Amino acid sequence: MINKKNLNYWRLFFIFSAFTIITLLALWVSPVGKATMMNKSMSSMAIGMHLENSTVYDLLQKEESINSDQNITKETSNQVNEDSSETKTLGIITTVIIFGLLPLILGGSIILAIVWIK
Amino acid sequence: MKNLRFDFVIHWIYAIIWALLAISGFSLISAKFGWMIGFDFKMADMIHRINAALFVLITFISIIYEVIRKIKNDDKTKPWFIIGRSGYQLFNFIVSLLLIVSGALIWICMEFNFKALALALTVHEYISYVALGSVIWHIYKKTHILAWPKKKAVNINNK
Amino acid sequence: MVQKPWFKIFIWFLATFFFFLASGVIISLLKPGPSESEVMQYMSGMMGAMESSIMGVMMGMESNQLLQNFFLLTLILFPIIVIFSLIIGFVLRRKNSEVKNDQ
Repeated sequence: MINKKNLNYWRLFFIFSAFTIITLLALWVSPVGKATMMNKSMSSMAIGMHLENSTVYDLLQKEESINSDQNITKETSNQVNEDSSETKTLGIITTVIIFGLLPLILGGSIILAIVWIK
Repeated sequence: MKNLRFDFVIHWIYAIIWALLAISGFSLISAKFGWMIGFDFKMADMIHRINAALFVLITFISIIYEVIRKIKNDDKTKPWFIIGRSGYQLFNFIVSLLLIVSGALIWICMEFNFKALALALTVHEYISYVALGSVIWHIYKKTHILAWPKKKAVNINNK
Repeated sequence: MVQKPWFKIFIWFLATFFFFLASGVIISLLKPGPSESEVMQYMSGMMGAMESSIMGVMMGMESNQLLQNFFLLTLILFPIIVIFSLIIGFVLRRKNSEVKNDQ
């Protein structure tokens, strides 16, 4: 059944699936003390915190309540300003690249979409 | 090196950037994933964001290239190119756009709009799972490139 | 180019790397929930990233007037670019189809 052309793929596939299964077995055989918190991914945590029982329309509205979290982030951001200027320059350069090119990318993809569709 | 084609070079630069983005991004997902980069989240964050800029840049260059090709009415298929109007090229194009837009939302909404941040994080995370799966599939479709060229060389010698 | 040995090694490396990533993701998803030390490392790592990485710089965006003006500029430019690209797209489409009909 296995195509000879794809032999290298199946080699990699079987090696890595064996690796995965063995590692998983080893991890499940000797489980360490579970932490009940933080067992979700960042996105599901964020959803749990901010998106529960809200609709798409809520996204479009500006958030009015300024909670205490933001005050904390502001404090940390003040620390950053005193921090290394290299990181800051890098941050600004990457931000300018991304947000400068984003409208152009979207515009270009609109052009391509119009031209491509038969 | 003379016949090095533009789409070929773009393809492999894109692959390298994608690999770096993937390992740094996946390790940032949650506490379960942190071992992949040794819990050095500062480095992961740096790699992810710098490569994000490169990723946007390379996507931009290839879109411009494609538009210029259309202006010249050049309909030749570019087998190595990362974006195109059908098949995996189209899939990759859409996925890249989704990742870029959701990533930009995460980038900017970090402190303003937590609801948008949550939505963008979810989209970013699940799209990246799909994208990783599709890369494995892509390797399956193109496995022939992994074959070591020894046999061919022997054949040429025999001829 | 594709047949060169160093390039083959590079391709093998990338393919193996992606397989490693995939198995790493599967392991991470299916493994028993994070241990306390992992959670602690995660939290402290994130705090570190917020303090001394680009993430932190972006957190301090509110105090950066220049960047805010830049965002405003891109926001203003965005609809203009969209309209322009719509026009260019339809013009290109028409032009290309005319060329095809002529042939």
